[in-house]
Amino acid sequence: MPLYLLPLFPLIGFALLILFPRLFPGRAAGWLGSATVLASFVVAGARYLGQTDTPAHEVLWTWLPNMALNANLSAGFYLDQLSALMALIITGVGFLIHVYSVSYMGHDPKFTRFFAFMNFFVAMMLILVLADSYPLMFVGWEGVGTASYLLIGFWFSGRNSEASDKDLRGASDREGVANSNAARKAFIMNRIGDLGFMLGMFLLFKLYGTLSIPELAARVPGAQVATAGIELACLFLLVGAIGKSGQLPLTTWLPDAMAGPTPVSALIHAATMVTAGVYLITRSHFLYDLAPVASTWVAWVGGLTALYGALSALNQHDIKKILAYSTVSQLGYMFMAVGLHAYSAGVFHLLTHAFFKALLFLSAGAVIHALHEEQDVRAMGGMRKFMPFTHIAALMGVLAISGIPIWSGFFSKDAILAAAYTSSPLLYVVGLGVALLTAFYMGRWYFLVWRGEYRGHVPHPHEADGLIKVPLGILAALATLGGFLNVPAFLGGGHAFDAYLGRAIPVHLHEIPAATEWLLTLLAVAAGVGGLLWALAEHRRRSLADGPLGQISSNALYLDRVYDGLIGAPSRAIAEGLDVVDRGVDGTLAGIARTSAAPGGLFSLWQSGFVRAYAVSMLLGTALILGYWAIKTIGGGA
Amino acid sequence: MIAFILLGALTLVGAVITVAARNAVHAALGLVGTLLSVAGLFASLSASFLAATQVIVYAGAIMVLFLFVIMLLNANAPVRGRDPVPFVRELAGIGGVVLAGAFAVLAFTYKDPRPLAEGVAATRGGGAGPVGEVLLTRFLLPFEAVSILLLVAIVGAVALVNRPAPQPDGVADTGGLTLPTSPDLQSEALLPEKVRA
Amino acid sequence: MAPTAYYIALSGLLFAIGMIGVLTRRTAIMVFLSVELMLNAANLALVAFARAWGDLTAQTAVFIVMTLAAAEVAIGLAIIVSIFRKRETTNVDDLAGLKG
Repeated sequence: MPLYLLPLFPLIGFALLILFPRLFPGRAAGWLGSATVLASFVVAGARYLGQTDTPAHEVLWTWLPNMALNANLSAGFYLDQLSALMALIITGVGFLIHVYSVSYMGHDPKFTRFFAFMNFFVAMMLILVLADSYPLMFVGWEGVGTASYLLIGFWFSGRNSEASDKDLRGASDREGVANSNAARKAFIMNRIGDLGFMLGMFLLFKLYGTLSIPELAARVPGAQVATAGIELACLFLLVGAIGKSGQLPLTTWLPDAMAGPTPVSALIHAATMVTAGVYLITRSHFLYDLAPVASTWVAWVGGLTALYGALSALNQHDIKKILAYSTVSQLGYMFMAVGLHAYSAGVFHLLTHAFFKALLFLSAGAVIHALHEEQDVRAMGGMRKFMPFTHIAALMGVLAISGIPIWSGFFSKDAILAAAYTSSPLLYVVGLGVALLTAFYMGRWYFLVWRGEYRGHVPHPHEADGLIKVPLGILAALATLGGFLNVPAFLGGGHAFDAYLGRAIPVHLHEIPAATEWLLTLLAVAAGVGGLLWALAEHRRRSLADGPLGQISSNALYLDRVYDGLIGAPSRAIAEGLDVVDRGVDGTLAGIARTSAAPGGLFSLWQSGFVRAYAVSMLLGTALILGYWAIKTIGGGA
Repeated sequence: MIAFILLGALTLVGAVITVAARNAVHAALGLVGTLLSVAGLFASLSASFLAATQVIVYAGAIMVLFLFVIMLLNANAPVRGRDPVPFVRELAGIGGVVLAGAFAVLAFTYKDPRPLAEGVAATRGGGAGPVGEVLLTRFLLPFEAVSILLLVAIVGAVALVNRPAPQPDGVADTGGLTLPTSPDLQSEALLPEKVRA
Repeated sequence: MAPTAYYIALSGLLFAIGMIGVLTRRTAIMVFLSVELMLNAANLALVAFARAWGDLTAQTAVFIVMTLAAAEVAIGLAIIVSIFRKRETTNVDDLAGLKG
């Protein structure tokens, strides 16, 4: 099966749904959207099973011909172990979330449009990961950005814009403004990153004369290019990755992106799109391997972002915001890993994170639904009684993200921390601290939502229906067992995942004594268990609603306000100044226009349309000429 | 000289009646007086053929036509109400005085190129013979052009006042020039019927 | 024989009176009558100059002017009749459709 089928199926679904929405009454649009993603998943699975060690490179057509240096750029798809894995995640998790959405979005008036956008996203994400060149990857990169923008602002007029109740509609209008602003924020922040990506592409072309990824991979190691050039290109690409993955300093759009529907948060802003930055760096490993400085930057950006996200998540009160900051933090882990050249560990965490974070978001969505759009964790609690199945699924997710043994997060986080330990002890300490904080805020999330007394306003919350339960169950199983894909040697495993990915990406295995490995593992587990116990203790003391750091954490370390002060306020001041100038210019021009129009009006009085008035003008002219002549004659005669 | 003063006075009186009379018929009769006086002046200028033509064509044919139309349209009452053109009387008065004054000044500074008697002799009395000689030799082309113009004017006048005969299917005949019924329809009305349809 | 200047002055007066008539009268027919006055003024001047110069060219010109006047009157009156049929008026101020 050719690779182009992968993005083609969802694209067809998108085209049908956006062009002929009336053909799909009821939930048909949801089923069509899910079916196209399932078809892509089948193709991806078939290609995965039939995969050899040689990467598949299927050229479609010559895209940008006759470029300089005789470097024709073709549009084509490239499937190696990394992109095959990404395609499986995107289509697999994507399909589950589509099915979930059929129920979750079932009552939304824009049901069909939602699935059109979701299909568009899946198609673009597949183009991104399968692209054989940076420009084609950029097409997908922009495509997912567009889809993200459309879906964050999906409720751009609020969820109750049609409500008859005035207060409800007013609240809906305010919500619509907030949603639209969140979408804009994501779009604009991503533009900054895109600029970096483009500059990186330009520089790479200047240095190597090609942008095709396989060609670059072959050309870069042997090329005589100044290290500074590679470093700079890698830093530019890092800017792109930072924008897309919501890393510091461009992180603030990601928490706001939770304004979109919950399945969007799960698919785009947790499992797939935001990991595009990690994918980009991993894909460019042949560059980063030669750029130690840029790699260090990547690692430190990741470490600091992990810490930032964890600290910000400590005292959030929105059930989705906690998960959003957690995503920021976990993405930081991935960046840390790929920055330390532990690509396999980073991608493995990407995989497990896709499972457990999607699971957590989807169960949060189920809770939000059961409580009639309530998102404040302080108005939840005790949901275990009402939604036992969802509770179990969410618990699996919490254990996975906290790094409790046998759950998937344990294995992936452990691998990252081990890599950090060998490369940079300081980063290791940061990572370990973040692990503790992660366990704590996720424990806080768990206890506030699921345990304790029910504090909600809905009398009898209902368990989710089957369409929601099935994806939750599958994801819970994957989040629990996914870690066994890559059991490290000291635990008797065979590094199966590393070995698989190692056929495409060099795996720099660190030789650590088994004893040290055991120690590191114990410390990590201790951090996870300690965080959960800390949360439990706070829960017992009923002081969990107010997390540590108080307002500082609630306001995400005031980063938004810092940006507003540094960039927003000066921009507004400049804009206001320009506005004054503009008004002045406009006023002057209007004055000039009025001044010149006035005599014109006087002349237009002359054009009265009365033929006799014109005759008067004629007479006066004639009299003037003859009178002048007569006076001249008298004067001449005298 | 006496003839000139007499005829000139009659001319002016007729002209003033023409311009000032409230009744259109009176004005037309005033104009007849002027035209006849001008015919006399022509005769005093030894242009006998033109004097005769003036009486026959102008005072006869043209004035009869005028009177016909005035009576036909019953339009001998002046228009009442405020004049919409501002200061038209004042401006016309000033302009007229300046014009007449300038004419007078220019006339009295004019010097005849030769004694008048010589001129009178050269025009040979201005009878039909001498005038016709010039007209049909040197000015044959203008003469013929004017005859064509007259023909066109006749056809045009007939076409203009031709009432469209009612057609069986109720479609108006477009032979005659259709003038607009209101100003805002003007541009549309000027289009041919086919284009409008 | 009265000098040419007198005739020219008379012609000027006649012309001015006609001009004033054109400007102040408001029915189309009266405007027309005044125009005829102006034409006669011009004719008078032409004939006076013809005598002064002893040249018959001016007299032929007057002849042509008379013919033109006849044609003009025929067409003009036909137009007035047409307008009257459509608009029931001969007031020239009502025909201001070409106002700028």
